Amino acid sequence: MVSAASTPPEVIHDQLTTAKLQLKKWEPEPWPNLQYAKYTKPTTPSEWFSCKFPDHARIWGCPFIELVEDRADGLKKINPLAPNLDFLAAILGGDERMGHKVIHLEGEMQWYFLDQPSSIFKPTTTEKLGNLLRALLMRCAEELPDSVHKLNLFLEFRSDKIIKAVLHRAKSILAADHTFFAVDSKNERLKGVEVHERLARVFVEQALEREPGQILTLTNAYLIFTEYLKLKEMVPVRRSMFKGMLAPLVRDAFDLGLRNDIIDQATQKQTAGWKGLRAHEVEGVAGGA
Amino acid sequence: MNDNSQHEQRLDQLEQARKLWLESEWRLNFLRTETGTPTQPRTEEEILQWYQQHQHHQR
Repeated sequence: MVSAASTPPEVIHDQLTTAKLQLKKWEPEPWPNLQYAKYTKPTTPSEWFSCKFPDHARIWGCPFIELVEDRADGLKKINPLAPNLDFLAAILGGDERMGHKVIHLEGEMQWYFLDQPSSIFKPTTTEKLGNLLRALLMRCAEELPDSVHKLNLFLEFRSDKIIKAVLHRAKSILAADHTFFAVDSKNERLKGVEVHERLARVFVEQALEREPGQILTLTNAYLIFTEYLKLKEMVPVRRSMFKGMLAPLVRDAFDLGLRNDIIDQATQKQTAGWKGLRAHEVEGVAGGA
Repeated sequence: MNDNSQHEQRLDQLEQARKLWLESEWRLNFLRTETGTPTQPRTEEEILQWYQQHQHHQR
C-alpha cells in the first residue's frame, strides 16, 4: 500500500478500515475576517491544544501523534497515541495573551508564576503545575466529540509517569537564572522571609554535609550563607533570623542539634555550632569548617 | 443609531474580555495557594482594561 518512502505509514484492518498516523495542528480558516476563524471548533486533541496555545505549537510542534481511522461507515476515529512532551512542558510557561508567565528559578530550584492583578511573581509548586496540566487534558477530553478515543487523554497522559516527565522537561524549557529577579530587572517577586527560608533549605542541601570530627560554627555558617545570598543578589538576613531558620533545617536534614559548647578553632572560645558537620564549596562560594 | 452600534461594540468586547479573563483565572487558580485574603472580584471596567492591555498579543 505504501507507494513512497515519504508517505505516512498506513495500516489496513480486517474490518475494511484504513488507519494512518498524523501530526495535524489546528489552523484558522483562511478567511479574511480572523474574528470568525477563532470559532472553528477543534475536533482532535492536537487541534484542541494548538488552538488554545498556537504560539507554542508553532515553536514546539504538534501536541500529539494521532492515529486516524477511516471507518467503513465513512466516519473518522481519532486516537491520540503519544504526547509531545516538549509542547506540554512549554505550555506550562503560560500564555502571553493573558499576561501569564511561569519560570523555574534554577538556583533556588523553585517555580514562580506571574500573578494578577499584582503582576508580582509568586512561588508555586511542581504538584500545582501538574494539577494544571491534568486539568487541561481533562478539559480537552470533555470538550472533544465522541469521534475521539478519550482513554489516553483521561488516563495515560494524566498518569504520574507522564506528568512527571513533562515537569522534568519543563524545568529546562522554562529555566531562569538569578538575573531574572536581579535588582535592575523588571521582574518583581514576592519578598519576605519565605524567600530566605527557601534559600536556606537549598543552602543546607547543597553546602552542608555530615563529616565526623568536623565542626561548623554558627558564625562560619552565617558568613558562608551571607556570601551565598550575595551571589543570588539578595539582601542579607540578620544573624538571629538565620539561626532560627537554619537550626531546624539542620536538625531535619542531619539529625544534629545546635550546641553552645563548640570551641571555635580560630579564637579558642566557646560558641554555638554543630559537631560532625562541615560546609563545602557551593556555586563559587568557599566554605570552611 | 451610532450610539447603539457603539453600545453593541462595547458589549461584544466585554463578552470577549470576560471569556478570556475567566480562562485566565481558571488557569491561575491552579497555581495559586490559598491565602487569608481572597482575590477581589473584578468590575467590568477592570476586566475591559485588562483585556485591552493584553490585546496586542491576540491574533
